[in-house]
Amino acid sequence: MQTSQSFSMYMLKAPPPPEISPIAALLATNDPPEPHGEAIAHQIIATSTARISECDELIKQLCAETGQFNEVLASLRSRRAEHKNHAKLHRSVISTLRRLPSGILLEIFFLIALDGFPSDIWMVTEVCRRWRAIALATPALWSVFPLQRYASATTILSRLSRSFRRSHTLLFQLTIDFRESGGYPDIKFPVCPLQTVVLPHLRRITHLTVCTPQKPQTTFLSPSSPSLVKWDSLRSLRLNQVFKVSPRTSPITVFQHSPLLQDVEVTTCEKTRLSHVNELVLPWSQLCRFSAKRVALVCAFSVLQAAPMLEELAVELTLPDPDFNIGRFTHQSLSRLHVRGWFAESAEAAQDFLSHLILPSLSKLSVDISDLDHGIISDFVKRSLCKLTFLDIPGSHPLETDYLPAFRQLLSLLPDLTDLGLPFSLEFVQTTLPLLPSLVPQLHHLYLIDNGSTATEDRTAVCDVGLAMSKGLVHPQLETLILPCIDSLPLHSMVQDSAEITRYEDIVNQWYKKLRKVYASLAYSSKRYGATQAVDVRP
Amino acid sequence: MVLLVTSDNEQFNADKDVVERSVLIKNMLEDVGESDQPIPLPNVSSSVLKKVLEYCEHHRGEPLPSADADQSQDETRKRTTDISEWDQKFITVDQEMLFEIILAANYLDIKSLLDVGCKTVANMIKGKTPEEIRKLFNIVNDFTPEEEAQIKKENEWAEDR
Repeated sequence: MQTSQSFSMYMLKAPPPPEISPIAALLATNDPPEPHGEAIAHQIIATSTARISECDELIKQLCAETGQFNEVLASLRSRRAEHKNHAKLHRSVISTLRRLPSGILLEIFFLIALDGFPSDIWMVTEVCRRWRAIALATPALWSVFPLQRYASATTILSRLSRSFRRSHTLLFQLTIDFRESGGYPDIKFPVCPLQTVVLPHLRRITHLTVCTPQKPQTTFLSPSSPSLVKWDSLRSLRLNQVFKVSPRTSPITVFQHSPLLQDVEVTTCEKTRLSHVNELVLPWSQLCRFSAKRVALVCAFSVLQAAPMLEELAVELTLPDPDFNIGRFTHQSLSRLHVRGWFAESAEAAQDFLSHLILPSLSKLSVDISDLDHGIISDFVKRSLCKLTFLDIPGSHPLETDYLPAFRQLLSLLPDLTDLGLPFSLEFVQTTLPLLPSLVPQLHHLYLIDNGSTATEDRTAVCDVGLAMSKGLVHPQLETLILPCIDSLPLHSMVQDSAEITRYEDIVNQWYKKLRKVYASLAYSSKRYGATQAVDVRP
Repeated sequence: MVLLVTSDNEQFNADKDVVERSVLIKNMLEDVGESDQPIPLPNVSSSVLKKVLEYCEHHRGEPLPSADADQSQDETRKRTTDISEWDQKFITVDQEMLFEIILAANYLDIKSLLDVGCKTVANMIKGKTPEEIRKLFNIVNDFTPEEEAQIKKENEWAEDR
């Protein structure tokens, strides 16, 4: 208030504004003044000059006061910030975060370690003493070493070394990527230092994923790595982008003496294929699961011959072998088989594969090829005398000639079938869906898989499935229904009949709840189209 | 119906199959048998219990996770920080409420709600620098300058992802 009064005083002290000039008419012209007018002009100039001086003096005084004012203003602002920070500090004292038990914080850290950027868990250790202490005191937090995208080789080595140390003696899951592409700054991975870091801990690595570079000799998969053979705990192995495994190159041998190894997945580089089982020296006789992309038909058979204990096989077959010549082959243990074609033309190879197999223990079969011949599967089932509980045939095409008789015959051979995967399309919904309750009354889980039909068709098909369900036309005992695109389509845009909407929504939402759960727990779609891993479709 | 009494003495009536999503309450009900006695929840305020009951009501009838579901290492490996759409909307609350819900879920032993809370916090942390995490959660940097320098030196790959 005092300041505002003081500021008002300045205006009272200020000189009055200029008066109206007696020679105003001259001001708007370029005419010279008369002597009297010139005298008036001089007098006005003198008066104005004096008043300018008065203003200058007042401005000077005011500036001095304003300086003080600004100083006070800055002090106040600073004091405010102090109080704000003080309150913030005390707010953090009462924050519920401080009361979170260490176990819950640890749970959060595990989620970050398993699903965040690889660097996230390292950031956590830098936040505060408590977080660091909890993280460092938990070896399990450091026992999974994920793929380190965009990290330099030096960083990877440093992190790996620290992870080994922090995980103490726990079993360890290691993922290493040697490829030059994909944003890896260091082209040459220092293999020797890596071996030095890994070697002391080799015996406790339980899951290993290796993405190999163009020259496999620069990784520890090289046959010249005699010290890297003690994989005593190794249970599962993923070899991604294996380059040029062929009879002409040295086979990968370092895993041949891994006493616990049971699960192996192999992906070769583009334009290469796994031609023969000898290209990978593995403890074949003890393997329970094998999965490979781009496999020659002959190789798929040689895997089955080499691995009598195999329970699960997932293969993506390449083109048919022109000189393929093998008789019927029986494998007693295989219970889950997933066959997929690399190209559309690979369908012939896949059907050749099935035509030569006898698998009496098979319970789950997935055949993902185009133009599927149902007769081949029927013959296979009859020949094997297997009791399939799961059948996934997304290549089944309702518009094929003799589709329904062949489909009907196939299902009649499968009295134990509880899980069925079929293509999701308008044709299928119209021709086959209404028949399912009579063809497979024992069905519990139905997977309708989007197999390339257009969005418009899918929309109509989803609508039809929903209406069929609302009218009770689909199996009343069905526990699970997976539809491919229900997640992204709003119900109101699918169902035009308003009388049906509420009931439809209720039922679909009920299904949808189950659907999401099953979908999430089985990761069915991602695994299926990831296509490198055999699909275990049951929880 | 079951009568619940919160720390601020507010009373909530809820269906038995809703409140039994809490293992704590389920066990209490089993222990006391049929009774009209209110169940005191001294560690849960009314505003938090209201949210918890909203969650339990929405997930009514869903199977409860088994006690040893996440004990195996394999099961742990499968876990992700994905959260369903409804749960995401439900858990979009201010930070204090989020932590209160986590504490309540832990106290009441509602595993799925605890998971949603933990996943939400994990998602908030992911991709952030230590300083950003401190700022977000109002955490004091209690390292000495020397300690901080040492840790930063250890983790000098901070720019890497």
